[in-house]
Amino acid sequence: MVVLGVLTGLLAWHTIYWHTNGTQKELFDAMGDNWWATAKGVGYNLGLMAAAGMLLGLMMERFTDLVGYKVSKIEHFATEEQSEPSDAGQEAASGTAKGEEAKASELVA
Amino acid sequence: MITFPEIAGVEVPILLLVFIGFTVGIVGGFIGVGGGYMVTPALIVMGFPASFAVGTDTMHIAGKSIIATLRHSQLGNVDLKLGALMAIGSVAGAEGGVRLINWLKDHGIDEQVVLTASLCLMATVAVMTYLETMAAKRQMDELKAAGKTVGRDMQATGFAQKLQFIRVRPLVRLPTSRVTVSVWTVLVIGVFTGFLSGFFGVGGGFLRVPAMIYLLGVPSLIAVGTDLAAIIVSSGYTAIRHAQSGNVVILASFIMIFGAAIGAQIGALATQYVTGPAIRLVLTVSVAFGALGAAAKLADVLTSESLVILDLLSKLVTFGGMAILVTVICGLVLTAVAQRRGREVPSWAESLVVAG
Repeated sequence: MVVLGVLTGLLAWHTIYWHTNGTQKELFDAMGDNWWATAKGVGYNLGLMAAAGMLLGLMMERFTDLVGYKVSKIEHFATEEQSEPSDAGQEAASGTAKGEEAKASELVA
Repeated sequence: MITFPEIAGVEVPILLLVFIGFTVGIVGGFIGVGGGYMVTPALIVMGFPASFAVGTDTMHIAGKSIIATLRHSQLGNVDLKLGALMAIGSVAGAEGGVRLINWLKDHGIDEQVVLTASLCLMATVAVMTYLETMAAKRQMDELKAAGKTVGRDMQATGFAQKLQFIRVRPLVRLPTSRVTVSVWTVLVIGVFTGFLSGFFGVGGGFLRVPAMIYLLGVPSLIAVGTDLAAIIVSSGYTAIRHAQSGNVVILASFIMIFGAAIGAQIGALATQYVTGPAIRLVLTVSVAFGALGAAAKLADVLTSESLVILDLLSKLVTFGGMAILVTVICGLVLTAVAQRRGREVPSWAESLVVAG
């Protein structure tokens, strides 16, 4: 949690620093000049968002653990046998689908 | 207040950007959409030129979807195999949709046609989802009243089962969703929804989520998480295209993602407290607001002059819609919590929330 917090802080500091010293604007203006400048600009934008997304996402996971909020897997199906969401009228179709499913599992990795 | 050198003359309150990210994070994390149809108008209202609003929003959605997907994955709501197939189909379809719209624009197609089609599509999705959700809710109520065990989800249509009987090889088994279906069915749905999203210039979550539910038979909660995983790829691809065109104000995206980080947690965790029909009901409301926004835009195009009332209406739809959606989600969670604590909840809400 501390490591993630520090990394997120560094990322925020870097973004603000590059914004204030004009590096982000330079990258933005250079886009379209040549393929390398465009790739650098696009890569920077996408990398920044991916890094922010990953760090914040992981940090939030740790945060809920830290405050003791229990997150467990949701039970999507009422029974082990239920194949997919269906109403009572579709039980027969569902049963047939399960037979097909067994066959299909052999066909597909 | 903050200014952006990429778009001269635009001054935006930092807290407002964080707040937009936060609210759209809640809604997106709950119903599995990127929320572009909410953020883009909000950025335009704040003074962003339209192309910058779309590009900045797409970049923020790509980052936000990573956050929401991580949490949904923890909840067991992500079907990675299905998400990958949908993403491949969506990217291919979106590219086709973008090319078609550009070709039509070159040949002088009227903007009114695209807006009218977009409005009709959203209205149809909203009405159909609403009718099906209400029917499913009634069935769940009846089963509960009869003392039968009811799962988290139920659908009132059997269309997905019919599609699963199309056994064109190769077949793919999706253990998380408990569905076995032809790869071609998934790809065709991905391409189709991607094509429409590219054509109409939207993210496509509001099309992919109902498509996964009704055409593939995926439980609503898994459809939400899986769509968010697919959005990382599809939105990432669109973000690259917008960045290439110089349409991204990266600092604005970065600020919004901090709000989205908290909002997406609330939205994703809220899915623990609700059933499938509740997700679909909120999706219906969300798409209905999207349709209203498109109607306001269409009226603006038809009148060909900026009317104060239309401007006001679009702001009301954008910000009012966000507020209503967040209120509904919070209301559902509070109802579930009340039920878990043994308090009595209204009978209409019983099949929308999970007692624990």
